[in-house]
Amino acid sequence: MKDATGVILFSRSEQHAFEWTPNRTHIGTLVADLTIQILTIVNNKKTPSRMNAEIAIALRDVTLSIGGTRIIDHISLELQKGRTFALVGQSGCGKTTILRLIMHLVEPNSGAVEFAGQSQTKQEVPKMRHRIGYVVQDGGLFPHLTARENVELQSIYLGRSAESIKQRVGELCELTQFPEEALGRYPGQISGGQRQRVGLMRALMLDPDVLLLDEPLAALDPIIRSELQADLREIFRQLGKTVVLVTHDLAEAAFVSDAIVLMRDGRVVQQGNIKVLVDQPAEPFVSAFIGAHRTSLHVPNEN
Amino acid sequence: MRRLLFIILALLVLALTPLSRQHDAIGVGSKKFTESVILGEVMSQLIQSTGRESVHQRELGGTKIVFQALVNGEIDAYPDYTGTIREEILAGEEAASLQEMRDALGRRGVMMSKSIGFNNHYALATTRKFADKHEVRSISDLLRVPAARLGFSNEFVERQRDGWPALRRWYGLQHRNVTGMDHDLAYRQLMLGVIDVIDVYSTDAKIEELDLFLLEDDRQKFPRYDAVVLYREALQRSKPQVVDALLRLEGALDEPAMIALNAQAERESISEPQVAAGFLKRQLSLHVDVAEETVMSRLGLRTLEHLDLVRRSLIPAILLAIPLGIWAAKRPALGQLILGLVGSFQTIPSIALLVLLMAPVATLGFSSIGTGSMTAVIALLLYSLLPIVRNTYTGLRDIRQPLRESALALGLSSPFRLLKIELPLASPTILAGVKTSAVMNIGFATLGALIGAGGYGQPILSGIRRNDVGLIMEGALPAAALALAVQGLFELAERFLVPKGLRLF
Repeated sequence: MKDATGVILFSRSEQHAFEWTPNRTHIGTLVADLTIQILTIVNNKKTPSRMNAEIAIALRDVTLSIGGTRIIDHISLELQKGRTFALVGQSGCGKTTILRLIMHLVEPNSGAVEFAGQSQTKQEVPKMRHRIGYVVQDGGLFPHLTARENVELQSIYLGRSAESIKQRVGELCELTQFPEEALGRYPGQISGGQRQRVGLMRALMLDPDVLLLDEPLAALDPIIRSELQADLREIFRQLGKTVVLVTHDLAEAAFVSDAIVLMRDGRVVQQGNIKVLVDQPAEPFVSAFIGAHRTSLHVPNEN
Repeated sequence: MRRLLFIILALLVLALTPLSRQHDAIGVGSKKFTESVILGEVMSQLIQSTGRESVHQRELGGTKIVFQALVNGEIDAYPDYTGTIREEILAGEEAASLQEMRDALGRRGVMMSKSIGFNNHYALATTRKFADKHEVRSISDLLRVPAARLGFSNEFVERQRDGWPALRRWYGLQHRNVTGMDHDLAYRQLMLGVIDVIDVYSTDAKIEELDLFLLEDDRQKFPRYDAVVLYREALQRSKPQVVDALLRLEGALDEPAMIALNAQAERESISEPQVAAGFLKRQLSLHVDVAEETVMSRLGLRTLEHLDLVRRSLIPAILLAIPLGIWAAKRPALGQLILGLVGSFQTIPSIALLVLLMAPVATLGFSSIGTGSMTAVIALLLYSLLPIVRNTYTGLRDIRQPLRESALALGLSSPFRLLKIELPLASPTILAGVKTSAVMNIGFATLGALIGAGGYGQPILSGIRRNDVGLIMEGALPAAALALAVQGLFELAERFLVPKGLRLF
C-alpha cells in the first residue's frame, strides 16, 4: 500500500523519473496525475456508506470577523463521527480558525458551533476540551516539561492514578512508535518528527472522541514527512476517531483523509473526496487549486 | 505547589524576622552636620555614664524631621539651638522670650535645657585682607563698601526673618552683587578672591582654619542660637537621673571649645565618638569607653544595616509585585492602571517620597526615622515594584500563542495553567525583573541615609558633607560590591528556579 501513495512517489520520484518519462518536461505533472489516480482508487476502496452517520461536530452558519477583517464567512459544516476530514486551502483562508472555533478558543460573531449535537456553554467547554485532542501547528509542547510530563499533564490535572497513566503512556508510545526511553527528554532535545509524535500522544492521552491536527507535518523534511503521513493514516484507521486535519497539501489531504473540505477566503468551496473534486469541481478555483499541485516537481530536459 | 508555598513561607520569615534591638535603650538624635553629631554623641555617652543603654541615631535629617521624631517618642533627646527653635519649630507662634519658648515646647511634651554654653549664630565673614583694606570691622561698615561682592548660602539668602532679606532691611545695605551658592563652595570662592563676604556659622571650624574675620553684628540683628538640649517630658518623669546627666552639659561648652571639637572631627578626621569622649574626659572627668572603630567594624555594621533594609523591602516587594504582575497580565485594562501606578512611584524623587511617607508611617506607630526605619523600607519597597511587576506582566503576555492555546485546549483550569505552565514559562523574565529590582534596591537603599536609616548611604552622605572622597568610597564601593554579589546570587538561583527545559538553549 505504501508504494501506492502519492507522497511516497513524490519522495522517490527523483530516482525513477528518467527511466519513466523521457519525453515529458514536467515529470512532476505526471507523478501528480498518477498520484491522484491512485489515491482516488484507494479512497474509493475504503469508503463505505456512511450517509446516516452521527454528526460529531457541526458549524451552523458561522461568521467571524477579527479587527474588521472577515475570517470566516457564513460557514456551515457537518463532520460525521469516525471519519477523517482534511481542511485544505491556501494559507490565510481560515483553516486553522475552524479548529480554534471547534475548540472554543475563539467565539463566532454569529452562528453556532456544536459538539456531539450540542452547543457548548462556557461551563461545558473545559469538559468538551477533554473529549477533543488538539495538536497545534508546531506541536505546542511545553518546553519546560519533559515529553512524558507533556503527555501526562492532562491526566495528572484530572487526578488519574499513576498506574493508569503509566499504562496509557505505554500504549501511546506503541501506537505512535515513540521510543519510551526518550520520554525523559525535553522538547528542545528531540527531533521535529518526534515532537509531533509527542504532541499526538498528548492529544490522545484521554482517549478523546475527536482529534484535531493543525498542519502536523508542515515543518518536517520530506522523508520524515512521508513516514509520518503513513503512520498517521494507520493511527487514524486503528483509532476510528473523528479526525480533522488542516493542511495546505492536497496530496497529503487525499492520502490521509476520507473527505476533503476545500476552503477559500473564509468560505467552504467544496466538500467531498478527491475524485469528486477532480471530476466535478464546484468552481474554477477547485481545478486551479488541484492544478497548482501538479507542478511541484520540475526536472529540466537534458536533450 | 508545595514547593511554592515553602518558598513563600521561607521568604516571609526572612523578611519579617526582627533583628534584636535594645528596646528600652534611650534614644538620642542628631541633625546632619558635624556639630550636631558631636553633641548627640556627647549626650549619648553622658546617658551611658548613668549605667543605662543609649543609642545615638545620628544624622537623622533636618530640624523638622528630628523634632518630629522627638515628639513622636522615637528619640528621647537631641541638641538644637534657640534661634532654630524660635524661627523654625515655633514659627508663627511669636515665642520671643525663653519662657514663652519653654511654654510652647511644653505643650508638645518637650522640655528645653539652659544653654550648653555657646552661641552658634549666623555671622558675616570676610578675609583679613579685605577687612584691613577697607577698614571693615562691623556689618555697618559694609555701608561704606557698596561694591563688595557678597556670596551667601542659598538657605541664608532665603531666610526672611534672620537671613539676608532681614539683614539688608535692618542695616539699609544697598549691595547689588549678591550671589546664592553652596555653602562649602562659598569658602573656596572667598579664598580665591571671587567674592568678598560670606555667611558662616560662628562655631564653624573653618573660621579658624582659614583665618577669617567675623564682622561684628553691631546692631544685633542676628538672633541668638544658643545650643540647648531638647528632651521629652516623659523622660523627665520616668528617668530623672538620665535628665540630670544630660543637664550636666549646661554651661559646659563655650564657643572656642566647640570650635575646637568641630575642628578635631573635620580637620583631624577623629571620629565623633572619640571627640565626644575626649571632651567628657577633659571637661567632666567622665571616662567613657568608646570602642575603637576600625574600618572593618564600621563596614560590618553598615553591611548589616544595609542588608536589613534590602531584605525588609525587597522580599515583600517580590511577594507583592508578582501577584500584581499576574493580575495586570490577566486583566489588560486594569493592567495598564497597575503598571501606571507602580511606574509613577518611580517618578517621585526619593527625598520627597521619604518625607511624604514619614507622617503616615509614624501615625501607624512604626519608627519613621533612624536606623532601619519603616519609612525607608516602604520607600524602597515602592521603588522595587516596577521592574518585577513589569517583567511578570511581560513574561506572561509574551508566552507564544500556540503554547497558550495548547494549555487552553487541554481543558486545564486557570489556576493550574498559571502554576504549571504560564509562570514556569515566564520564570526567566520574572527572575530577570527580580534581579534588576534587587540591584536597584541596593543602590536606592543608600538614600535611606537621608533619614538616618543607616547602611552604606551614611558614609556617602557624610563624605559629601565633608567633601571627603575616601569616605564616599567607603559607602559607594561596598554598595557596588553588594549589588554584584546579589546579582551573582540570582544567577545561581536561576539554576533551580528556572525549569531545566528552558535553559537548554
